[in-house]
Order: sequence, then structure tokens, then C-alpha cells
Amino acid sequence: MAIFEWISFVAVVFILPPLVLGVLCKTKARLQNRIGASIFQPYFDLYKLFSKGETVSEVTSWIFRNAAAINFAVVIVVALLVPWLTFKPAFVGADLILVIYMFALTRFFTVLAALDAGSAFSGFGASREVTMAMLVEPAVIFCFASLACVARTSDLSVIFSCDNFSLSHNNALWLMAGLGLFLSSLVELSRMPVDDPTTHLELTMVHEAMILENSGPNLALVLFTHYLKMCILWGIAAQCFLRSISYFWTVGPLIQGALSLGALFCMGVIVAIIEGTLVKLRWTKLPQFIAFAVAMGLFCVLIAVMRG
Amino acid sequence: MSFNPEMVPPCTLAIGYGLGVWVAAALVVFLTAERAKHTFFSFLLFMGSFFIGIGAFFSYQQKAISFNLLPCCYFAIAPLTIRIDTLACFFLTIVALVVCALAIFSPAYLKAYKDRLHPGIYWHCIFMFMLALTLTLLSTNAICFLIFWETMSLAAMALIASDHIRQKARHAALIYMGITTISTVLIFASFLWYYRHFHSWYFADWHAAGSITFPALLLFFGLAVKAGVWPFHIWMSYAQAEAPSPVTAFMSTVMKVVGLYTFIRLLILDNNDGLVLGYIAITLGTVSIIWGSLFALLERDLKRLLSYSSVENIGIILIALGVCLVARHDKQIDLAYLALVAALFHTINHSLCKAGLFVGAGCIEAVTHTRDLAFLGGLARRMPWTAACFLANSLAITALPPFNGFASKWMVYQSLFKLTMSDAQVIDRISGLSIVGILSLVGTLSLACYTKAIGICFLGRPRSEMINQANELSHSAVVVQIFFVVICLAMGLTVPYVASLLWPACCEVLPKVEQVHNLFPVPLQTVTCIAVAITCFAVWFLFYLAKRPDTGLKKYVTWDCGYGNLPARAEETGTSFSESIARIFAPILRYRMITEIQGKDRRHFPEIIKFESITSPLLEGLIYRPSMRVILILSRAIAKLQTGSIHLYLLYVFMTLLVLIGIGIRL
Amino acid sequence: MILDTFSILAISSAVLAILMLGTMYLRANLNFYALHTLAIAMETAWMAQKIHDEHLYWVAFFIALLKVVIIPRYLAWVIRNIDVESDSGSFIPAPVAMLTGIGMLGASYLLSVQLSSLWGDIDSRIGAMAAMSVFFTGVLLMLSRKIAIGQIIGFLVLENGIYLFALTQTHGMPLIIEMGLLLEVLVVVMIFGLVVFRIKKSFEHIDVSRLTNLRE
Repeated sequence: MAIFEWISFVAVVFILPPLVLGVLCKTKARLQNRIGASIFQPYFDLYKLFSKGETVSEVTSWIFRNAAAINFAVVIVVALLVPWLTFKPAFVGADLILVIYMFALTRFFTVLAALDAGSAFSGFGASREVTMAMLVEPAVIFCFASLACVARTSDLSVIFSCDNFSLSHNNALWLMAGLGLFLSSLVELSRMPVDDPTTHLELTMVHEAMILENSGPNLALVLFTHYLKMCILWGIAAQCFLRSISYFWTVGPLIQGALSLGALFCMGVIVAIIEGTLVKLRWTKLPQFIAFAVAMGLFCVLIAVMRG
Repeated sequence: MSFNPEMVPPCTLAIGYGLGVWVAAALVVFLTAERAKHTFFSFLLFMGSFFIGIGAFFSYQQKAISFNLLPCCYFAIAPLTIRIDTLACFFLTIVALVVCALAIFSPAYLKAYKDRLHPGIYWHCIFMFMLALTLTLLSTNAICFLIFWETMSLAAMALIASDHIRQKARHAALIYMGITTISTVLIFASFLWYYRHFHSWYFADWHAAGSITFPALLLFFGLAVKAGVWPFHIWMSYAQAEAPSPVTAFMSTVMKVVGLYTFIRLLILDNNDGLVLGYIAITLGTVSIIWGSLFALLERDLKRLLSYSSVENIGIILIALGVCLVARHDKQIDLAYLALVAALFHTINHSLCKAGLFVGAGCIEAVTHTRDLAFLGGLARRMPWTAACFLANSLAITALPPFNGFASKWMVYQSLFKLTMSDAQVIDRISGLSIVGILSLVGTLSLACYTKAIGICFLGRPRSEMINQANELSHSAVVVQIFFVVICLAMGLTVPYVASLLWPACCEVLPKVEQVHNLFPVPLQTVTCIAVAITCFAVWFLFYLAKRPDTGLKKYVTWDCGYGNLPARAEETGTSFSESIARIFAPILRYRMITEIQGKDRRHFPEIIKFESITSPLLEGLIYRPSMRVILILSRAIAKLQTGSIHLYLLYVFMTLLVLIGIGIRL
Repeated sequence: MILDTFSILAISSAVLAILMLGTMYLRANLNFYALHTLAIAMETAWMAQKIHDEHLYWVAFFIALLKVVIIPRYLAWVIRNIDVESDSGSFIPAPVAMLTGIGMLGASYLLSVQLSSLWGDIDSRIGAMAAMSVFFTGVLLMLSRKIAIGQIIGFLVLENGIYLFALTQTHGMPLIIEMGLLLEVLVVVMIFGLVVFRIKKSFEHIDVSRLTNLRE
């Protein structure tokens, strides 16, 4: 069983992320009355980038070239820690603070890599990234912490364990946590309405601006890491949403696994709909949007703390 | 008990030797004055702290002993007795560790500033400072404590002013002098109160001193001033920026340690019931972390940035101590232990990595002669070792795995979680969770602050000419920094062991319980980080072996969206990096931006664009300056009494006598 | 805390009201208002089903009709006609106002725990909490908005708070009083709307914070 879990998990980690993005892009294209590229296009893009040569700015230090590899490794391990799918091999120490600080570690190196080339635009992106991170971090931790508070442990694998029925009637808490995590994932991944991932205006970009100087295999690695992070964040939000439905608690592990995969793609479609219908917010309006994520987190806190 | 070498265990003797080395050194400097040799005195400083460190480390967990250091010397009403117990040894070990490392670093730094610093005064003050500091930690009674405390403050003042040619340094010393006087007054008042209450100057007789709220608050605020807790932190940014880097490192690490030690010794130890104190500590700690991290982010002076970050870290420690007090009031001893371990652990971590960071900043300062981020940049290629160590220390202080900072922050988070999950009052539990949120916000702010420091100092293109001639300061500086990094990393990877080492110190403070073994889950950090490292190497291998890095690799100018090779002035500066956060917190920071565009067609073809961003610290503008003004006006009024006429003075004396006689009759 | 339908409806009305604080777009505010009032109408209906009171169904129906459909539509029409889209906000920025609102929700929880007369019944306690929170939110809305439309919405929310309190504590008032109140609210909103037109016409703006001159 363990071996099966590992195999399926490794397969999912390497195959799923570009696919979710492909589905997202396809949905978005259909919403805009375009045929759109195939849902496998992200794979082709990654392959193309990987086969290319690499150009590096001569002002960069060792951080620039190694940040991508470090981030990739960190995110892979985080994927092992976070229960973003119901079938996940057991890995010790899935602590929520650890997970949040691992993400902070990737942010640290991403920001440094952006500043490394001394490019004006990447610097811009880096500054924006830390600003958004600062605003959104409390929201994420409020959602997780209130779940932890109700489950009386900070171990994510226990909180999200499907056998932990102490949490099975807290529909409102799960729903709010899901909403909070979903809204903050839009900010963390710099997607609409925070940032337009398909824009071509460097002055407004956040994540894309930070990786302007990366190219070739390095860029492929950065992008794949980003896709994987996307899957993890949406996956965990989807898990929260699933748990707010009482039906989810009653079914067997196989259906739960299928549901969580389906929910992940659903999140992609929902994001595509959001991106198709909303406009990008002005940078100065951003705190107003993020405040909603924080508000959801605070609602979670209130639900968790109030007793009877 | 008098000092009798045969009756004292050898490790205690080592502490005595260490102190002796420093006393001798202080005397020798006094005699040699002008010709003082940096290397020689650094060696003496190192030897002294080495002895003390060894002694303290091996006395740790031993039975407490107290003896009279100098039987002939009797400070007015109390003998100079010192007591060596587990708690004191714990803090002494940290102090010794930091001082040892900084002693190695000092000569290189001081040589770069040899025309500005008077070596005799500098070294004399350093030895006085270290002696007073160590004896403060060891003193058993209030009188000794105050004498050493005051000596330490004076020595620190002299050290801040060691570059007194510059007006700024004199100004900083003056501010420090003022604030440290306030601190001493508060502590003195509280000690007097305690004396009236307990009829003894000995700390050992002050049972449950923290339960008497008023003097406990006086003492707390007195220590808070010294430790740089909000709203008393303002002296730090002045004093620590202007003092020579080794001194700054001493002040921001070991001097804080003394304040914390006293807090724990007098206000937590011995069944104190300090609920009010606990709440105040949590509140001030929370404000401190926000304030410190915010101002650190905005700072463009590297050393001021680091000193504001110290404010943040003292806030974290204070929150943990506050939780400890609240938990003990609620009879949750397990939680109290966890919080205390967190506080002690964070104290070590902060001391070590902050000292490392100050050494890095000192290297930059000595090499480039500037601390202003606007003139730095691209140092990573000139000073690769300093850059790498600064990066690692920053990781430690921003509490990122795999370093030790993460472990102590994790414990702080965990103690807040436990407070929330407990059966405490709703308001406690809500505040517990809210502080978790604030901690995470502050964590990201400090991440922003340190990425800014590294990114602007070490990465990108050089922003001034000096950078191109910069080189590593010296081998010793590099070694010291590596030492700090290695210790931080080693402690990070062996957290459970370190936490179990901290246990005896906690046992001395809190009621005894069975040792809790899951203070920190063993695999939490270590396994994860090893997994990350393995994956990282695997990726590296696959990627760069499969692709063979050099065939496809082209070196080119920075692309910059096709503009290519823009001058260094187009780069992101420290100010612009923090601009977007500053704008959000504009009301607290009183942040304003003034943009002035000149030219005929201002919109499309501006000729001159002037841009200025102004922050004026809220506290200084609203509280400190006005109150200073009031004090000045009052002082002028009082000064009128000082006429210089002998007759008037005689009249004063006579009137005082009358008043005293009157009081005497009354009583 | 595990919630039943009654508390979920009450709390969701409070939550939706708080979310109104977070956005300055008037259209979004109106939509949130409609949803928030819908929750209150459903709460009324639930209450009717719980205590088997026929007339509360009618109250619920009229609330749904007037406050969920007619008033938001009317205000949307006013907005379209005076051509404003969003409030620029005053005194309190939107995110801060929303977080304060959540703080108020927590405070009203503590208050409802303190009010000993409500201790017996958990439903009435949660109802009181939600009602007080809605009331506070209304006040905050009026405080944080600059233009007259924002003030009207704030007033409506405040009124909802009072209604919700009455509903959850007294289990509904007589039909005729409810109807009178509803009618009154409708009339007040109509008059407000007209006044807004007048203000716009005479001052060229509807910024309340600039209407500080006491005399002509």
C-alpha cells in the first residue's frame, strides 16, 4: 500500500501541475470564444525551455543560479508535507508552522534571485512580492491556526486526516478556511485579480517580473516550481471545501482521492472563470482585496475560539 | 563563605580566573594607554571570556555556590558576594560565547579605524564593561547589582562615544546617557521598595518579588528601557549605529541578556504570581515586534536596520515570557515550561546570529566606509564569504529552516497555540491566536527587511566606486562569521538536544515537573531539511550534469526588458524596495512622498524630477520631543534657584535644616 | 463551535454585513446588502417554522420583497442616475474598517456572554451576538463612508441589526408593527434617495464630509 501511495504520489507531483494549468488556460480560452492551446501545452513549453541554452547576466552571483534548484527542492518536500491530496505517503513532521516557513524560504530565495541581476524590473517585482506576502501571511496562518486550535494539534496530517471526526461537523469553519486559503492563494500565486499572469506590461507584473532574467532550463525549473506550488495551495483549499461537505466524510478513501483530484481541477476552472470575468485590481486597491482573505481568516479564528 | 581556592570547584575557579584576567587587562591598559595593542588586548579579552565560558558551561547544572569575592571590600551595606547557579551560568555561557568570537573579530575592525579610536580608552572601557556585566549577572544583592549595572552603563556610554570627534556619536552617547539614567532610577526605586518590604538587600530573601505589582512594574520598565522594548527603543537606533561595530554587537546581544536575566531572576523565579506583568509583557512585546520590524524595513543605514531588528526580537522573547507568566497563573506548568524554553532559546539564537550579522555589517563598514545602503551593492563578488555568512545569519534570524531561529520561533508559536487550546478565558485565547497572526506578519516583514539588506548590499551592481576596491576585511573576520553560522546551523539541526540542555535552567525558575520530552519533535526540522538538501543536490546533479552547464551557458548584460545594461542608478534601491510597504503603514510611519517635476512639458518631457520620501518616527515627534521640551522648560525654572550667591546657598541649607527638624518633631 | 441552521443564518447575516465594510464599490455594497437581508428574511422564516407562527412568514416575505428586491434596485437606479461608482472613503480605510467590524463581532460575542438574562437559550445568545454585530457594522459603515449613498446603506444595515435583535429576542413582534416599520424604512429610503438628488443638484457632489457649513 505504501509503495502504491508513493508511486501514485510521485506521478501526481510530476504530471499534475502543468495539466491543471493547461485546463485553466483552456477554460479561459473557451470563455473568451477562442479555441485555445491544447491542455498539454504547458508540458511542451517546459520541454522547450529545458532544451534551450541559458543566458545569465554577468552581474549575478551564485544565488541567482541556485535559487531555482533550492526552491524546487523545498517545494517538492512541502508537497510531501502538506495534505493537498487525500492520498499522500506519510512523511514525518508535517507541522503547519514548518510548512509556512518553508514557503517563506522559497520566497526568500526568489526575492534574492530577483534582486541579484540588478534589473530595475525584477527589483520592482520583488518589492511587490514581499508586500503582498506580508499582507496575506496572517490570512493563511489564521485559517490554519484555527483549524489547529479545534483539532488541538498543529500537525497538518492529523488536522486533515479523514479519520479525525472531531472536525467533521465544523462545516462553517472548513468553508471559511477554504475561502480564506483560496483567496490568499490567488495573492500568493499572483493571479487575477491581483496580477495578470498573461500580461505583457512589466511594470505591473509581480511574479513574472521577478523571473524576467531567468532563461532556459533555469526558467523551466522556476516555472515548474510555481505550478507545483499552485497545485499545493489550490489543493489544500479544495481539501477544506471538500471537508465542509458532510458527504465527503462518509465515503471510502478511493472516492475521496478521486474527489480531491476532481476538486483540484475544479479550482483551476473556477480560477479561469474569475480570470475571465474580473479585471486586474490597481496596485493601491490590493490591500482592500487581501483584507477579504484576512477577514475570512479572522472569521475562522472567531468560530474556533467561541465555545457554545 | 570567603574565597578559598581549595573549597571551590575548579570550574568556578575558572570563572574567577577569567574575571582576574580582565581586571589585570584593565589595569595594564590603564598603564600603557596610548601604546595599547589591539591584538594583545583582544587576546586577553578572548582568554578571559574563554575561562568564564568554560567555567560557566561546566558549572551549569551543578549545585549553586555563593562566596564572597573580596572579603575586604564591602559596598556600604552589602558585601560583594557572587552566586554561581544554573540560571546565571546559562546566561554567562551565552555572553562568553559571543565575547570570545567578537574578541577575535575586534582587531581587524579596529585597525581600519585606528586614526579615529583611542585604543587605551577603548580597551579600558571594554574591560570595565565586560567585568561589570559579568558581575551584574553574578551579584547576589541589590547594592552590588546596582553598582555594577551603573558601571556597565557608564562604560557602554563611553564606548558609544569612542568616536567622539563626530557630532553624531556624541549625540548618541548623550541620548544613551539620558535613557540609561531613567532605567537606573526606576530600578533603584523598585529595589528600595523591595528593601522596605523584605528588610534585606539579598535577592534570595525576596520571595515572590513579582507578586508585589507596583515595584515589579517599576523594575520591569527599568529593564525594558535597557533592553530596548517599545516605547523605550529609540536609544538603540542612535547608540548602536554610532558605536564601533564590535561594541554594537556587544550591546545588542550581551547587554540585552543581562536585562532578560534580571527579569527572569526577579520576576519569574520563585513562585511569582505576575498576571498583570504577563499581560503587560505580552502587549509591549507585540507592539515591539511590529514597530521594530517595520522601522527595520524602512531603515537605509545597515546598522540601524539591525538594531531595529533587535527590538523585534526582544519583543518575541517578551511575548514568550509573558505567556510563561500567564500560564503559570493559570496553573499550566507544561505551557509555562514551553514558553520559558522558547524565550531562553530565542535569547541564545538572537545573540548568536545578531552578533554574526553585526560582524558582517562591521566588515562592510570597515571596508567601504559607509553604512548607507544607497551606496552599497554588488559586494557578493568582492566579499563572497561575508555575503554567504550574512545570508545564512539572515536565514537564522528570519526564523527560516534549517537554522536555529526557526526552532525557537516554532516554540513561541506553539506556546501561543497551547494558550489558545487551553481552558483560559476567551479573551486570552482570542489574543493568543491574534498574536499568532501578528507574529506571522512580522515574520514576513523581517523577511522583507533582510532580503532588502542582502539584496541591496551584496547583490546587483555596485552603487558607488568604493565597492570595486573592496575585499574581505581579514581572515579572522571571515572565521568569526563562519563560526556563528556553524553554531546556528548545528543548533538548528540538533534542536531536541539543545532544548533538553535548556531544561535545567527552566527547572530552576519554575516549579519542578517531569521533563517533557516532546518539546520539539525530533524529526520536524532535521529530517525535512535533510530531505530538502538531498532533493536539491539531486536536481542540481540532474540538471547541470545532464545539460553540462558551460556548453549552453552564455554570459550577457542584464536583460532589463530589452533596455539592457542600465546604469546602477536604475536599480532598485533600499528605499524603493520598502516603499510599497511604507505606503501601507504610512500613518504609523508618518511616511510622505514629495515629487516635484520641472520642465516645459512636464508630463512628457520632464527636465528635472525631484523625489523625496520622508518618514518621521511617530514616537519621537509626538512624545519624546515635546516631553523633552517640557523638561527643559522646567529645568530652566529650577535653574533659577542656582544663583551662585553663597548667602542664598546658606539660606537653602538653613531652610532645609528647619524643614528636617520639623519633620523630625512630627515623627 | 458547531452551528445549527438558526445560528448559521444569523451569523451569515452578520458576516455579510461585515464584508460590506470591505468594499467601497457601491454596486457590490448593494449586492452584499441584498444577500445580507436575504439571510435575515430566511432567519425570520426559520423562526416562523420553529415557533409555528403564521404571520412571521408574511413578515419574511415582505422583507424579502422590500429590502432584498425593491430597495437595492431603487438605490441602484439612484446610483446610475447621479453617476457615482464608488465611495472614496473617509476617516477609516476599508480594510481597517472591515477588520474593526470583525473585532466588533468578537466584542459582541463577549457582550452576549456577559448579558446574563440571555444565558438560558443558546439560540437567543447567538442571535443577540449577530444582531449587535450587525448594528455595530451599520454604525461603522456610516462612519467610514463619505458619500450620501454609503450613509443610506449604513443606515439600512443598522436598521436590520435592530430588527434582528427584536426577532431573536422576542420571537417576532405583531404583524402590524413589523409592517409599519418596513413601510417606514421604505419611505425613509425613498426620501433619502430624493434628498441625494437634491444634494447632487445644489452642490455638484454628494460628499457628506464636505457638507459642514451650518448656514447658507
